[in-house]
Amino acid sequence: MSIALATRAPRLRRGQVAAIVPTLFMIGAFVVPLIGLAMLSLRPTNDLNTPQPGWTFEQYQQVWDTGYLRSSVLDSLWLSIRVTLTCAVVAYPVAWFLVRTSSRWARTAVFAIVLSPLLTSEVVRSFGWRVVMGGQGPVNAALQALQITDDSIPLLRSGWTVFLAIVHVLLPFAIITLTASLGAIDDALLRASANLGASRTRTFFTVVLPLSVPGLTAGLMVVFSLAMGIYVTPLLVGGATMSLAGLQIQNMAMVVFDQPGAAALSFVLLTVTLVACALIALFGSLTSRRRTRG
Amino acid sequence: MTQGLVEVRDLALGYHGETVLKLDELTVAAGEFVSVLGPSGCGKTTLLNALAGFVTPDAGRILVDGQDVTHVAPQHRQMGLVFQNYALFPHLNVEKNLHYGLKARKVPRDERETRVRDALKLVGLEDFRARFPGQLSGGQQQRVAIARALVTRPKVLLLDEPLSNLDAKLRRQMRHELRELQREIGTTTIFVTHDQAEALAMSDRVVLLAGGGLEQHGTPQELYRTPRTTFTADFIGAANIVKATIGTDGRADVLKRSVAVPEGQGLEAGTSEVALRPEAVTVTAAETPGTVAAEVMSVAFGGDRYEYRVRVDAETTLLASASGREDAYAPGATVGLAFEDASVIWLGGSS
Amino acid sequence: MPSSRFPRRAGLLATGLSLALALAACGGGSSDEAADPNAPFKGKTLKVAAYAGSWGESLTKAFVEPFEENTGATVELVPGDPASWLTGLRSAQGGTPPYDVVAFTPNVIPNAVDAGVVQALDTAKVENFGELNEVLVEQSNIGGQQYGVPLSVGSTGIAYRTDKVKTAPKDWSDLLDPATCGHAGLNPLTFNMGVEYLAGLIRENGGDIQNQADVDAAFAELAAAKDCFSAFPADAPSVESGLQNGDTWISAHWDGRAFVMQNNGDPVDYAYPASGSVGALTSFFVAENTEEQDLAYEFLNYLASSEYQPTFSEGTWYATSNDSNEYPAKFEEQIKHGKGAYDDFQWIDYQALSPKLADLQAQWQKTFGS
Repeated sequence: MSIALATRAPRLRRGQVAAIVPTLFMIGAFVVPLIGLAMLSLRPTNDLNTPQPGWTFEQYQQVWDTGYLRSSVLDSLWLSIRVTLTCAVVAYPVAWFLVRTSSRWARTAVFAIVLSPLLTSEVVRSFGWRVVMGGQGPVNAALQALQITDDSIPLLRSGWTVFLAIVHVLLPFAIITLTASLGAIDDALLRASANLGASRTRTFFTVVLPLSVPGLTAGLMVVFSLAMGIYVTPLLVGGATMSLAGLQIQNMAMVVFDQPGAAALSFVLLTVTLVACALIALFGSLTSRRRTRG
Repeated sequence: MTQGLVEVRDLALGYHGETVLKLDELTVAAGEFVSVLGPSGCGKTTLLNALAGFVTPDAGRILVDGQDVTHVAPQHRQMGLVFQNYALFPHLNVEKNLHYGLKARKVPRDERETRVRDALKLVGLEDFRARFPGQLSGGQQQRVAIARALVTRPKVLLLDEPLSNLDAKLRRQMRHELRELQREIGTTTIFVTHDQAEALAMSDRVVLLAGGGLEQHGTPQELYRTPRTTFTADFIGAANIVKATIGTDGRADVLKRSVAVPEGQGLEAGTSEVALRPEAVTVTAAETPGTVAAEVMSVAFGGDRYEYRVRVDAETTLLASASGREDAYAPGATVGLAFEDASVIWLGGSS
Repeated sequence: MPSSRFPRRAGLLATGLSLALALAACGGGSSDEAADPNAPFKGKTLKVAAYAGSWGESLTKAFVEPFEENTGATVELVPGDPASWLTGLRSAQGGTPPYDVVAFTPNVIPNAVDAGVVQALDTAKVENFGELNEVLVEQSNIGGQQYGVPLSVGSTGIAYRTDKVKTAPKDWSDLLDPATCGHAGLNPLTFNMGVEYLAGLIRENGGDIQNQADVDAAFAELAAAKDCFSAFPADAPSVESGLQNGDTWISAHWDGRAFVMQNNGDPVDYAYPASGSVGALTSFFVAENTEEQDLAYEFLNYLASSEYQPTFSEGTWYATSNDSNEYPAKFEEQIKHGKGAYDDFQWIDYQALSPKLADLQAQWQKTFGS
């Protein structure tokens, strides 16, 4: 039977197999565990949070009713929005430099610096932040040398340190996607814009920005999704003091051993993330719709 | 039209300290259509970029209507540039592409509408105003690019090989359209091209650049008829370059034939070079009196004429032609070559 | 492109079929090897879940090496932490467990027992079980049933920088001393050391961590000193790096690890709080459904023996559970150990506390969260 079918579509077959194998892998590695997680989130639990037989929505009810769980999702959302916007703003000039510079040396150096957060493990990187922001770290030493403060400041306690650490690790994703998009903009368009009398600022907002929308939306989506689920960096840098859904899920699953509750919170987080990503995608397709219509 | 006088003085252009083009003097009169012609690498695009403000000269000055613009930023130059690949904004439709330059120059909305409508009418694209560049043919894109440059009413229109991306038929048609358009609006136009046929067909004057400097300039007719150098003769209208031995008696030996040397051109006795246009060398039957014997190497039918490649002797091969109405001579056949004394172009003179 | 629709479906079908065939081929049973009656453990492998680092190295040197030599079996150490091992066992529930013997801390034991992933212990099968410290044995007794064999015991007390802290701390509330304000470390309740500190502070005040009113009073006391805390270390390495790099001058810590820092030259000392240390213990359990039941018990024999335990203590600087152990002089001097040593220790009843833990964490989060 498969021989008969194969001879009917001999040319398409190889490409299809090449597409089917990764698809099956994605189903096996993502969809199947996700179904397991969904089932777990519908289990009732006893006092020690051990799952019991039966089906219930009480885990979702608990996420909704428990103030600190509900607010952890909202706090994650707010942090992710701030991180995403910061990454977009910071990534633009760096990506622009990478695309425009004529010095190969400078490009290689900047690219290596940009990628460096991805080349080190999250644990090592987080400990690096602790050294930098620690009581005897260079930041505190500089503040004391400049006599801005007499005594060391507990920078590690600050939510801004965690914010910076998260921006640091997610920035490469924004820069890489933006670089691809900016690199595709023809140099002649920029000269055409100047020739038509537009200043650099006007050229940026009327030519560069609209043409980089595909890369921008891709970058925003990647950064946003990663920020929504982040937990290792805030755990290791900030010491689990932040109200974040990722930290709560980790804690529920691995400290309190409330796996059904953790699964329910995961699904709430996943839903919020997907809705937000859909909104970003919608924004992207609305702004670049006209170009692709042709 | 009194606007748009372009003067270039003692200009040196280069990249990274290496000089690409030196131009002592070039003047383009207001309303003139001038072609800058030359082989690739001669610096013609660099010159255009310097005029548009994208390349800062190493030395020299560029003046527009007497005003020094050498160090004026591109956005303040009022030069309309049409790019080789048109560089239309892909995210804006035709109308918005045209509005772009007017908005940048803060032209009031009503006036903008009128000018854009007029410009689209000028290039015959009124019905395409809502289309996006990706939905237009090459020829239509090019017209949009020209309209976009013209709508801002630049003092000078700069065209960077605008026809090179079009197919042959459309290219011929656009030559005429472009020239008619320029006559209509009267804007000074500088047209960069490597195609000598384009330059000859369209321009008031041709500036031929070669080897990093000016080779010769003049009307198309002057360049075609009286090239001063071997390069010019060869580049403009594909000439046969032949050795000539000038005697003291006012006659010279060209292709084993005695030819009268014109006076007043400062030609001296000795060995020199002359040019013969292929269309001036006629292929006739062998041993016709007054012809030079040659062997046919190949023949190409071109409709009204045949083009032949012939060998006179071991060192000399020529392009020659014959009327297309007769039968062709086969390769290997012996033929006679005829040319008039007046058709010989004398090179290397001192005047 | 409607024309490509049919072949696409056909390709999927073909791939699905071949996949099913491949799976069927792999499904053929694997056969068990017959045991050798002369050396019953030869060629067998025992999987033991234990901490990595010096703890695991000491375990290897003290127990695994002699065990392997004498039994001919092989021990495979699976690194991680109690929470991940519990998760691993729960995921494999009903099937073969990923570890045969597993190390748990008291905070995990009630959950592990409730989930049915560890076996009740047949104490008669463990030689020397009678020599083990009664207080420590009691900690893995749930509802009158013994489950675990205690191995190493630590005390949660106070570690401090000798070069920064002028007066040595004496009790839990000294973490809130104005003299060290701005340089104190407080562990969050997501880390069991944080729970242990909170229990200690409440006991110093005469209360009990199981009593919500006492908890509220302790939180009020901590909240008043909120700005004194410069770091919230959520794991043991963070506690140590905080002390080393000067983020914290004073912080709760376990005695063994604090003394290791001191013996390595760090300017750090450790105080057993006057109102009583809080016990930190690691015990070993046999996993439910293990295929190496006898080998697992044989390994427990080694873990409980006073012949091997002192080597482990020397390596980790933690006291071990056999009261007959003989330790080196320096260890004797620094570390509390032996019969009666743990009588004034506080042992947190996780059976009662675990269900309340999430709410306690939320209360902590509300007080200190950013």
